[in-house]
Amino acid sequence: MEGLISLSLGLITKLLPMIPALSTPLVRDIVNTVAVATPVVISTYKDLKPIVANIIKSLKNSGNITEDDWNALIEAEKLIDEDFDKAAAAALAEDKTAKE
Amino acid sequence: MKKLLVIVAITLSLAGCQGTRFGDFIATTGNAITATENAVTPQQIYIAANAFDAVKVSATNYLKLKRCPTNAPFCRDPSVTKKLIPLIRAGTIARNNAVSWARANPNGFADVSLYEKLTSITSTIEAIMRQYNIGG
Repeated sequence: MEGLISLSLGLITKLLPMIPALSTPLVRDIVNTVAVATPVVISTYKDLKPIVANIIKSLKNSGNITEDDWNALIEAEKLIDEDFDKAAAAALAEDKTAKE
Repeated sequence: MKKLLVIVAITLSLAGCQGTRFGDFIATTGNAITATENAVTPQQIYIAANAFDAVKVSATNYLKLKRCPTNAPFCRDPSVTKKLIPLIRAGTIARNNAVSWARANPNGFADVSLYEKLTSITSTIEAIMRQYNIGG
């Protein structure tokens, strides 16, 4: 689905200059913004979906968190922590380089 | 709080029943509810850990953006980066402590400070994200 959205946005971006009425800078900016934002929104939605599902499930279970629930949470947290550590290191390195 | 006051009132009014099975039950219930006012359950910790993970994921996606200023419509403000990273690190330690406790004590009540530490860091991160329109 996300592939289809990205493909459509790419197509719109390419076709835009061919439609004079839609080739104003404002329309171009809007399309470009949507094109850049869409992958970020899709990625965030995909990342947050299992977390929200966990919360709903635990509320439905009226307090029973099983060993499997904890194990799944800890496995997911390993990936979340790794992803954060890499992003934080890259951001700090980029900021350090920009200052120099 | 209301619930607690009701239990305290019942406990006092049934003080004469102390030593009987019914009186003991009321006293024990009162103590249990007092404990839940000062302690949290593994379920509450599980939910708080997930809530923290949600803000951590959103913050991570923000950190992956290019540094401002840039031509891209979205960018990462270095001053926000400076605030977010230490908070997320502190929150990760608080989350790990709370989760470790909850796993080791599946039927127990955790000290409320474990929970409050985690939820207060989550709220602070959320406030920063709201202030700078970082969403997830």
